[in-house]
Amino acid sequence: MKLTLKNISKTYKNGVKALDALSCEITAGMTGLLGPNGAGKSTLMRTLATLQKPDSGDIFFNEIDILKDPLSLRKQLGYLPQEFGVYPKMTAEELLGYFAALKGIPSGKAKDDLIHYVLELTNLYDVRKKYVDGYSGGMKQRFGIAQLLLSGPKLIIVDEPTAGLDPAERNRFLNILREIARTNIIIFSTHIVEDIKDLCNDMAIMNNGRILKHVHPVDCIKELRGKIWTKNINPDRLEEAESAHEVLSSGYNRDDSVNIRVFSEHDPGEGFAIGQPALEDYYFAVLNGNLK
Amino acid sequence: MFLTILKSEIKYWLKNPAYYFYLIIFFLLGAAAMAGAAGAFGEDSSSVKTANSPMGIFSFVMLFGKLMLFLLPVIVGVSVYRDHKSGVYRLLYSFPITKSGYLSAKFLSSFAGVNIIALFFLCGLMLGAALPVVPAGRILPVEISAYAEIYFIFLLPNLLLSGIIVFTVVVLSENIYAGFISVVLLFLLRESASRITVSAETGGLGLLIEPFGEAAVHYFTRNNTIVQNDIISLPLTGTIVLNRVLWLTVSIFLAAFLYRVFSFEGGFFRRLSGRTNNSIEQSSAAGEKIKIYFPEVKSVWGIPDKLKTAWYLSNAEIKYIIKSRSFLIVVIAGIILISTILMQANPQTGTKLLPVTWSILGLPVFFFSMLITVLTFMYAGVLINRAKICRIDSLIDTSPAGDGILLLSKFLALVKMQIILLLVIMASGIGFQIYSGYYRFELIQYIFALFVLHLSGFVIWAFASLFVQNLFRNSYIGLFLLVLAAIGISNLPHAGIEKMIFRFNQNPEPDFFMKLSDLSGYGYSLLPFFVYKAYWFIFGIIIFLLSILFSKRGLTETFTERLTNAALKFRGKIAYVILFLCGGFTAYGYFINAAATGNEEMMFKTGNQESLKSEFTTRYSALKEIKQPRITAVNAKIELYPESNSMYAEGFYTLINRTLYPIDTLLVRTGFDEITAVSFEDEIESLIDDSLFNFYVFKLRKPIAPGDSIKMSFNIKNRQNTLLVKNSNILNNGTYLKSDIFPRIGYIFDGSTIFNHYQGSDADLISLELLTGTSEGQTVIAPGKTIKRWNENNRTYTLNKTDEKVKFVFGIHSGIYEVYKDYHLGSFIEVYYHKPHTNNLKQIVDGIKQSMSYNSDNFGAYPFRVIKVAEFPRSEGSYATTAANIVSISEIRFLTDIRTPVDNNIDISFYVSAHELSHQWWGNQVMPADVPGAHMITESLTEYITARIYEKRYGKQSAERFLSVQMERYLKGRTSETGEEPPLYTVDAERSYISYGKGAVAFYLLSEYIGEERFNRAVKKFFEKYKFGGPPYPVPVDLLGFLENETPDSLKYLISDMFKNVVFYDNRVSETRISSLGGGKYRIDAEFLISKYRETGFKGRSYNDDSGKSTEYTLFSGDVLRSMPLRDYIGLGYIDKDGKLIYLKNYRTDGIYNSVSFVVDSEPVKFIIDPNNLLIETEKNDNM
Repeated sequence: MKLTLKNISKTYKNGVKALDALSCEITAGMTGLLGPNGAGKSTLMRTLATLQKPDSGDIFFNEIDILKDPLSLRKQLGYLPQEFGVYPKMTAEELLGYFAALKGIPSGKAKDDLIHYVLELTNLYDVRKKYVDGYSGGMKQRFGIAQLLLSGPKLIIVDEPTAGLDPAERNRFLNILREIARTNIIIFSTHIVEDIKDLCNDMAIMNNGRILKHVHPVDCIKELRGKIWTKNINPDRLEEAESAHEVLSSGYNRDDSVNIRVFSEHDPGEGFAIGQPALEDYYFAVLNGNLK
Repeated sequence: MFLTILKSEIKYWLKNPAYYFYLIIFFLLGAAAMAGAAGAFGEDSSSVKTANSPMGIFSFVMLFGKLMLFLLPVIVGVSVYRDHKSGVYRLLYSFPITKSGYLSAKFLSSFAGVNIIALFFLCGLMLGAALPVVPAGRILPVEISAYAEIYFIFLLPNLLLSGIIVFTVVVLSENIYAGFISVVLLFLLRESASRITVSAETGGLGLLIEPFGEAAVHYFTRNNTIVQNDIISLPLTGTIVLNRVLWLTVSIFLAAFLYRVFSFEGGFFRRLSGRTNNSIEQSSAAGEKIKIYFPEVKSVWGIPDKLKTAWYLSNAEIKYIIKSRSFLIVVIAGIILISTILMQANPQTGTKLLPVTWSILGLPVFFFSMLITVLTFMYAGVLINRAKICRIDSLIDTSPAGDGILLLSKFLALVKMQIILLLVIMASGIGFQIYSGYYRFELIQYIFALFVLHLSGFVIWAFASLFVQNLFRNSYIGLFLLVLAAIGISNLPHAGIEKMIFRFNQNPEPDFFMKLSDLSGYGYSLLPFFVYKAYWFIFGIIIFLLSILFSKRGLTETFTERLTNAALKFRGKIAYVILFLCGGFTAYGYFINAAATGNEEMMFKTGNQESLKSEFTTRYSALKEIKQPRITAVNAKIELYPESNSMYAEGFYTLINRTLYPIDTLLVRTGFDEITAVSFEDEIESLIDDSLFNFYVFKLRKPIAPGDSIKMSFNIKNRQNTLLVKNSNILNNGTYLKSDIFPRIGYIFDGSTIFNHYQGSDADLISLELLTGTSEGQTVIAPGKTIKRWNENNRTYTLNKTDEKVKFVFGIHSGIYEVYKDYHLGSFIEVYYHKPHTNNLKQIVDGIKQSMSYNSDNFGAYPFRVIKVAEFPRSEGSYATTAANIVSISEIRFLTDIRTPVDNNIDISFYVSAHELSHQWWGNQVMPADVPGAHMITESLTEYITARIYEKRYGKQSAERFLSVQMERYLKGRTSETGEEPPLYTVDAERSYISYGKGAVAFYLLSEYIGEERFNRAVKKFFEKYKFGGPPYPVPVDLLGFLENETPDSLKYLISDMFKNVVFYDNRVSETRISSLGGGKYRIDAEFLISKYRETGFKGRSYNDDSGKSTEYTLFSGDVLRSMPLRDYIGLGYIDKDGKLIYLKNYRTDGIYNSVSFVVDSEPVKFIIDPNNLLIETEKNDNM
């Protein structure tokens, strides 16, 4: 199971270069796609989901050339967009029936069972007779997962799914994804580092239409070991510190002092203490260009 | 803030290319419509109206105003819907803006936008009138004021009303389609209201209810002639003003209502129904461990599976349509529309047709069909854009269902919607039949008409709608274009495109659906109908496949991108199929076009009779004076083949030379529809053989000596029927074959002579022997006595012979008939009717009997031993006629609903049969000469006699009602008069509004004034002098002479006014005082003005009598009234407080001003002049 991207480029009419000769290879498991807003994540996700065509480049999923033969990919694709609506006045059961039909699942008991199964899995069974357009954000998101699961997809594209979910819902949601990811490819875009840390066995950091780093989350913590330094400073001196050091992040403490985390190959002195490296540090370090 | 919104709104539209598109379209439409009406694209002979008269402009504005209505949701509706869709709505809440500021800025800016389009349209009209290609005759100098008047009094208020309705609906429902639906409903309201108007004699409520004021204007111009319409500006009568004020008030109230209930929080209907927008919350169980195993469910992608999938998906789509409130409202409105139409009585007679299946399948379905078509246009857009609007598109676009499946599901949903609507029609139709107590349900007839014939047309529209909506991806533009296309396609012939192969989804026979008959079904038209439907169905599939190529998936693409994508997709199977279908479509089109072209010569001949006739005259006028023998006997054998719609006839004429000279040259004309061969016993030489005019000239070797006769033999067969055209009048059942298939002798006679009777230039009276063969099971009804009837070779033969001579004008019927027999005054009455049509037999026979009695009592005996009445299908016409001893009556007269009370209506079946039988005296026994005014002797006199028969049967009041219908017919008929209106005694055959309408009124008036007995005595003398007479035949002044002899001098003015001139009264009551004298006595003092004028020349008015005298009267106001000199009798009467009409006296006036006073015994409410409605006057409302 392998997804291969070769030299994917996409420039929008307004001149924005969303994808810039992007290449990478993704295998089974859960791949987190991390990047700031505007990095090109959504463009990439939509391209993988066959909603958009790049200007140039090739994408293969196993043997399928997804740009030439999108329909074949769609038979194995599960896609959950960042934001979606539903048809009004359709219950979850009806709407899943509709999607099942779209996915080529013939009517009959097997289909009904499948729908019940995914409803149970996403904990929507009790509200299956309710209109989906009345669902809360989390429920709707789970409904998105439910429809995605219907056809047993091999490639799953999930675009910033956890935004707006409460912690319990998020947890459940991620668990489901994690479970599916054991045998399939899941690409999961987010700008929340937390999501990746817990789940992903693969991670790509993206900015300006390019993948800056494509690593295993555990490896990157290792890579940063001994390079993260931390210190509390007076907020007035933040600018000064930023110009003197590679500041990755900063945050207020309870006493109104500011805790800064700094990337440095060596002890920067000045009272910096060695910090426990976190995924977030890696992310910022990559974005800042600190890691080669 | 108001200004900010206003500005941004205007900016939005100015930046929107669609807006410019609308501007240009309406501008061009205006220009093209005006130029077209003025004859820029060739002569439109149907009207000689001035194109840019106020009425002309008005009708354009009304017609295209309807199209403009569809701009309202697009522009006015969208202005608020945009905010709603983007959620800006809720943000506005936090801005410092008032409701009124927001609503008025939105409405005013968008409404101004619509009005600019309307003004562009008016400019287009003006330009169209000024184009150099426009011939001068149909254009008046442009008057800006006329445009302004129509804009400010009609177009602007109508747009305002509709605009506010649409705005309100969209704001409150937060649904743009509800806006479209409200436009459709406005349409329906207009249609039903104008239908109510038509039926009401006095105008009444319908004129007010009709929201656009169009019905009112038509009502008040109904008695204007074309010329008056050309010069007179629009009438602004009280009712029209009231209508305008009423609907303007409604608009204002609606606006106020909207202001009251509007809230930035939205959700008016949710608040109304108490539902809240709260979403369902569910406590989520926290992260338990999950084990996922997938049930083995395999996706299947075979062709049958895909079809099943499409079917399944279409169910979800159709459920969505049905569940929407708008759809429900449309269905209800449609049912109301159908019922309103069905409830309508015949406006002229007040009678209703039985609710037979074809009557429900006619007009009601026609209107409902428009609704189905518009809904197809609209829901195609809804279904195409729904996923995007619901933002579920990314889920659907990434599903493995192909574009074909998705599109097919939408197509199927549209067809299902159409089927549901057709079921609604069927249910309403049957419901109405049950309600009316009519229980002959013809389910097969319904199903075939609705679900085969109509549906096939709708399905083709569904293809086209999906294609357009899929291409444009904008419901509003798509809907607008489709409506525009539908109107445009139906008007293609006006733009010179007449070939059916270019007229998308049109029926080769325009009134195909209106000709369905119980006797003959759809007849031969069914085949061409399917031939063309199949043709357009192929086209539909082609555009459906193209739609698949142009389907859009994923992110917005530019049109070029979609084009490239479509080109990329154009390969493999789908490409071959498209190419194959295109080839097939072209070949098929070529083939049917060739089949239709074979007939063009015929079409040309029937379509250009006038020019052909003049061509004939220039070519052969030298032959005009050649004396010809007369036909005195016709012997023929006619074979009818109902199954193959064909016939064959052979036989011979006996021609006698009644001139004083030998005749050696014979001129023969044969029918255009038939292939005819003629032969003679003696040798002949062919001098002229002109197949264009079917005109032949033979030279006889042996001339016919004076008093001598020869035989002329002939055989006739109809031209071969083709795939698309039937070339004979033979029907599968109910054939009504007329004697015009036979060859005729002589030059086309076109003048007037007293030596021919009005229905024959080559024969006086003939003896007739006919042997007619038809399919076994059918009965032949032919003129004369039935001598013998037998079966031979599975065919039925009937031999008929006349015992009295008849005119050479007759018809032969053949069909499966039941017969009803009766006997009256020594004659047998036989009615041949279609088995289920028993409803009116009694009245028809009654009419025959009463007519026989009245005519024999007053004039002379019925000449034959038998009178046969035969029913013929409505596809052949809705008239009735008499020839020899047969009265032929259309199917529809057998289907009058007799349960409607006769006091308020005309018993039309009785009337028709009484009228036709009277022709046995007036037309068959007395034959007027072939001169102008012949119809005064045949039709006018017959209508008068029918009125008297009617009076005997149903009483004076009914007869007066009958006469007021005739009066209305006259006054209405003359409104479309394009030439000089002739007086009654020179009326021609075409002007039936004079010969029937005015004729009945004139004779009845004279008869009332001099007395029925005296009148009939004069007529009897006339009858006795001329019955069964040969040439010279009587002329109108002969009849008037007899009448003059019986008319006292004081009333002779009537003969001059009513028969020899075109005279109108203009009477009015100027003052009435009613006082009680006590003891139940009352006194009426009334003043009234009488004036009478004569129409002279072309619509001129003269107050001079023959000697050039006139009279004058100066009103108190200083105005001078003029009149022809008056020594006239005017009936006076009053209405008492019980609503009873009481006749006072026939008052002789000798001047314009009159003052009378009466003492009466009951309390008067109104004083009336001419209470019996005998005098001809265009405006009667001021007579009381």
